[in-house]
Amino acid sequence: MRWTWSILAACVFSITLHASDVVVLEDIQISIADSYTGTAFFVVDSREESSAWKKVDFSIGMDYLSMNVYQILPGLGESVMEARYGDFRESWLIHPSRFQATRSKRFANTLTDAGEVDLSPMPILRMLLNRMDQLEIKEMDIEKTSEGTNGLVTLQISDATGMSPGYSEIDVVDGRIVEYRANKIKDKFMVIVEYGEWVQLPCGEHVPTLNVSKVRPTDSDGNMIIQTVQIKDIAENEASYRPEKPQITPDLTIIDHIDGVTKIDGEVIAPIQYGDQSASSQATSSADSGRKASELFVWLGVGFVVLAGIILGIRTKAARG
Amino acid sequence: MIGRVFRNLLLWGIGMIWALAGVSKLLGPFLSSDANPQPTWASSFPNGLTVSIAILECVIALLIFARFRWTPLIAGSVLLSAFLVALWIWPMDYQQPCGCFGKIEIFHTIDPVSKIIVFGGLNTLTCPHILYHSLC
Repeated sequence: MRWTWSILAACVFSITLHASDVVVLEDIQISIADSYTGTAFFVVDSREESSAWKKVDFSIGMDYLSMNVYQILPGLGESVMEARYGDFRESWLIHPSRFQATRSKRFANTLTDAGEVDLSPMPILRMLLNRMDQLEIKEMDIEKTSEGTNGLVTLQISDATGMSPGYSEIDVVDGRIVEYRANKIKDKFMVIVEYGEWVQLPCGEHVPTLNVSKVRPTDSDGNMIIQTVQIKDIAENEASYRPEKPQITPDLTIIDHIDGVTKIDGEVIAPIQYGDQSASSQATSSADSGRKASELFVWLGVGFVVLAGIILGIRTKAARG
Repeated sequence: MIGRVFRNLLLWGIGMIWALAGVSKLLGPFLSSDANPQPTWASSFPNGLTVSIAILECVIALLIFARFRWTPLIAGSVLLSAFLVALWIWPMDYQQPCGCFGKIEIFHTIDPVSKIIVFGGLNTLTCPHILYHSLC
């Protein structure tokens, strides 16, 4: 089944081109397979592909998402880190090692879940299709070729979209999103994802198989954390396909944000006690002090070792003398 | 006399840190958790491995309290080195809590590698050929 997502069939946004021409956003044609599964291997920095530390079995669709995340332990096999499932009704996050499951409206609210943008540009398409009222097209510089649309789209994204808010850019080549740059702060993008090595599925649509994800720590002006995501075993899903929800075993404590209660073995234990809402901002403000304290700890540690060396030297000299 | 008190305080401090690391990991599942848990780096490893490390940390603490010197020092150094290797192979997500002390948040804003370096330095200072005999 072919899907071509004509961005904004419904939108009447008008935007200004470089040449000050007025066009509508439906001029951009972005396409991707509407539903597919695959396995992603995560490699940090520029290490060998064999040194992948994380594996994600995923199934991505326009209205759902399923991810089983494993930590790869060489010689020990794989350890389940978490399972995520989301559709427009509910989202689940399972942490088997913590015996904990969380039910929420995360996918319905944000149209994505943690890490999906590293696997596929699908969350960007969902945002463009479903959250146009919270986007502002700042600029669009595109051209149409026989292969599709080429160009650059710049957006101002509001907090409500769930995507990285702020100024963002999307590079489109031949109707495919090849790079997403988000959350511009002080002329630097905090998140950059490159989508590469597109392969064609039997349906005729293309999907990326080699993504490079770069994140700039908010407490640092230094280098970005670079992660390469190699996607294998890609298969197109049937139109009627829906991934199975993660299995909720009786030993899991369920934190149900939709009902606002905590459940164990199906029994409601108590209403959820939400923490201080300012916790996240406190965490951000403490990041800088944490970095300074980390540097102090390193120098302290080095100092201890040097002191140990000096004491050992003095004692050795004294013993000889 | 003062040197001996300082040495003993240092050793007890190091022993207490090992004990806290071990006991907090063992008691972790029994401690209450908040509504929005953030998975720690340690929690991504199999439970059996975490429990084994916690027991080893407790044993190191007991050996220090029992006034063994070389054995806990070597075991501690090996364990800290293993943590460094593991952090290199399986790096933490950005601003992810490490889980070194289970659910107890102590020095949680500090990079775990920095914590390992300072703790390794302290362990080195208590080496029998360095601070231990020097302050006797």
